[in-house]
Amino acid sequence: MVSPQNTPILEMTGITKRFPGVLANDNVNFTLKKGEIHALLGENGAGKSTLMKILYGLYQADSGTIKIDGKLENIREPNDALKLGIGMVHQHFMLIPQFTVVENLVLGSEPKRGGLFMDLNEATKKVLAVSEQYGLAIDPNAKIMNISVGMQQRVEILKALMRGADILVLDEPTAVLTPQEVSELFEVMENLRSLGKSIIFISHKLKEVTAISDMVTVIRRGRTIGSVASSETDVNELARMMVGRDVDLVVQKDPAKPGAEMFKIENLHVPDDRHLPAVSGVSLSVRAGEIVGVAGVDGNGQNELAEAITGMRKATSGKITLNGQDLTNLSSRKVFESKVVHIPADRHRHGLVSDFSVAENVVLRTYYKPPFSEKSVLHWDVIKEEARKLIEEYDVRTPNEDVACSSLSGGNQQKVIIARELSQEPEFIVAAQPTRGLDVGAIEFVHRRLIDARDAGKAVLVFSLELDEILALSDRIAVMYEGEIVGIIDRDEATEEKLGLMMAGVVNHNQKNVAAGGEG
Amino acid sequence: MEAMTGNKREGLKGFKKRGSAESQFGTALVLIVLIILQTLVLGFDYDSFGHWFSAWTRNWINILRNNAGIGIISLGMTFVIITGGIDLAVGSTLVAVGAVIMTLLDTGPKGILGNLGITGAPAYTLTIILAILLGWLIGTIIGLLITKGRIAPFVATLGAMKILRSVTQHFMQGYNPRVPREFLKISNLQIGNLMFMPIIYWAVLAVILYYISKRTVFGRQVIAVGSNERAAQLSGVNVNRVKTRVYSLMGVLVAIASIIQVSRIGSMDFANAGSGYEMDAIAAAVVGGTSMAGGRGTIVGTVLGMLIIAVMNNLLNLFGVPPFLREAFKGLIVIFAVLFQRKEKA
Repeated sequence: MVSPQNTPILEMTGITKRFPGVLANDNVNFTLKKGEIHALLGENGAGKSTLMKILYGLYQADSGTIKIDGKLENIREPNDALKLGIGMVHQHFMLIPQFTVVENLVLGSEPKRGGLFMDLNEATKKVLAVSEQYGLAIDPNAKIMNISVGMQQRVEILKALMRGADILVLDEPTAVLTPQEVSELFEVMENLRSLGKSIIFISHKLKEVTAISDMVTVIRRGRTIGSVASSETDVNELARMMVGRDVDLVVQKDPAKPGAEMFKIENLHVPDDRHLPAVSGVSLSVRAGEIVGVAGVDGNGQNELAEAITGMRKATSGKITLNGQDLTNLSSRKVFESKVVHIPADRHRHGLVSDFSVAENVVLRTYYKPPFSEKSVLHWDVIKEEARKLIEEYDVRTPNEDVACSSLSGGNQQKVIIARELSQEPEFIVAAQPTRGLDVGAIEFVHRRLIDARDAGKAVLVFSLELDEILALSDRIAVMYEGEIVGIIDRDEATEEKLGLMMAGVVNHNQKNVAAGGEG
Repeated sequence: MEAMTGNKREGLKGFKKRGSAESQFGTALVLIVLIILQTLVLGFDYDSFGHWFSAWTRNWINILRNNAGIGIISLGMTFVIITGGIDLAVGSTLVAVGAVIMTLLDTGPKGILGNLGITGAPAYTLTIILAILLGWLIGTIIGLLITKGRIAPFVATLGAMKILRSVTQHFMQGYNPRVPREFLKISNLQIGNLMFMPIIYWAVLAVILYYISKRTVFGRQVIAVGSNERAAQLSGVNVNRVKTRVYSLMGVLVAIASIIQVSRIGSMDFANAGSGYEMDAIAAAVVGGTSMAGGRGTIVGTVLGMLIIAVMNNLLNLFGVPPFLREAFKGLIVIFAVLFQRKEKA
């Protein structure tokens, strides 16, 4: 490992960017040294993406300067950034799925033969040369849609390197990876650093930031809070800088006191939108007073399973029961009336009607019943009273109950959903990605509520892509891989590494084996 | 590091995405079945094979020649739809270009080239060049409206469709230009005793466009833009230029179709010629597996799709299905083709 030199390769000074109604960047300063991995840490909406989009030419700053290698530069569009050696790996990969790796890597700068035809041999040669230079092995002729997410990310990194990037911006690169893939990514990052590349690592995950970066710059509400060397700080200090107060990173909870088996799935099969099997023979049970977490890499059937349970998707076979009552393939409303509530994974599509007011969203599930309506006439006074009560109780930050949900922050939108669902006196709670896109403070709130529900004797099933969340909440953990549950283990036995191997499908031990083996 | 490649998540996704190649196989199969049916209806006669074969060939040449114009347009439409766009103006562009061709070539007192003293081969060459330039210009203007003007393709081309048809009809009313007989050879030149020049143009253009889509940088960028426009943009592809060129190409192909149309019969009904071509071209592309959402489609598929519709028409004709009902069958093919392709993907 080469120790970082002292020349700043990038200096962003006094960057200010205002959007209608929001000051996204307020006099932000950011300095990157050559050969350094520099984490940009902040909550969602803190302004780190805005800052990087300004660097990449996707936005123009209202004021402030950008210096590359000490020279003042004006970056108007991504092509300017590329020319200055700035490469970006976007959070949602910008690849063409039906193209091969090579075709993607040369897209936009294809080597030509006769000025018109694509020279695929030359392209492959170029790609392999760069891939070898940086030790990033790839299969040049594989189609993007057939390779793993980790591989796709590697292609994105190569793409930036092929375009001559010296400064690499990685936007939340670990969000889509298994823990093993994360450590591989970190190896790649360290290797690139030793080859003299400078890396900006955008993240809101504290552990990753301290693990890989040399420096950390924290941004909160559009302002630079400070820059510290990773070696001189810790997770708690960073969390405090990020949120502005002390935070419980792991919500305190007492051991579960599980009661009788309440919710049960037997050999459930659920197809996806294309009629392909998404859930294949899943069996699972949740006891009263217990939180079961379902872990897995995105797209392994978790969404379909959650939707089948809550009546949003039909199962082809199998059985779902709550307290012995059959819930299989009932409509969403019937499931809800059976005391099952749902915090959906995609709050904009399935959780809220964004253009409706907070009050309207609060009664979205119950508007058709007394006391909210009688004979199809809505009682607005009762509805608004209920909304005011829940706003108070769940600490929803909104001017009043008549404000459209679209104008609330993500965290407050999620609070509206949680208030609506948990206030129904449910027996069983299905929470899918309950804290997606929320900041540390809001996560703490949501976790607290779910644990309170557990302690009140409810059965809770949590789907999450964040292992930290699974580990923080669950009493038992089920891991899904390619539509099957590859294992169910107790929280005490679970380690991040063990779960990671299960999530990658490497270790496949069924419930029985674990029970019999008793490892841990 | 190789552990990443060994990840098994790849398997499922690979499985899900298969089928697009198969759908072309399915399309070809449907075509073969229709051809067999058609052969049977024509009455295969073993005893006088020569006679039967010549009737069969003649029927086929008729089918292909009648569909060459739309066939050529459907090739360009495939590119347009792959980028996620649509071009409703092709029929109107066809008459606009046709009107200009006929005005240039008119043997009467108002003929432009005749008045300039240009006749014969130079006049025909010049006309062809000007026609293609006009088609290119119309296509480019439409393309710029869509890219620089940020007008939805449906709306931009709907507007162009109305304008071109109306202006053409206005200027051509009461004017009946006569095209020199020599010019008609472009489509009617006989080889042996068969006339298949339009078929040759169609075939040559299909091969050229096939190569453009598969081998050229432009062709690959068309698919990239249709598949994920933002990704293409961020990769440094000039998305607006690619899209504009697709409409320019469409215009050129329509101009060629117009030259063929005028030179086939020497006249054009400016009120009705080309109307409905846009829908027929879209139908051919869709039956051939092109996705209206963009990103997916092939020239081979579109040619097969066009042939399916053509053979179906021919069959309906042979079966004596009343003319007004034939369009209903065309509609059914389109709907079933898409239903079938969706099932296959599942």
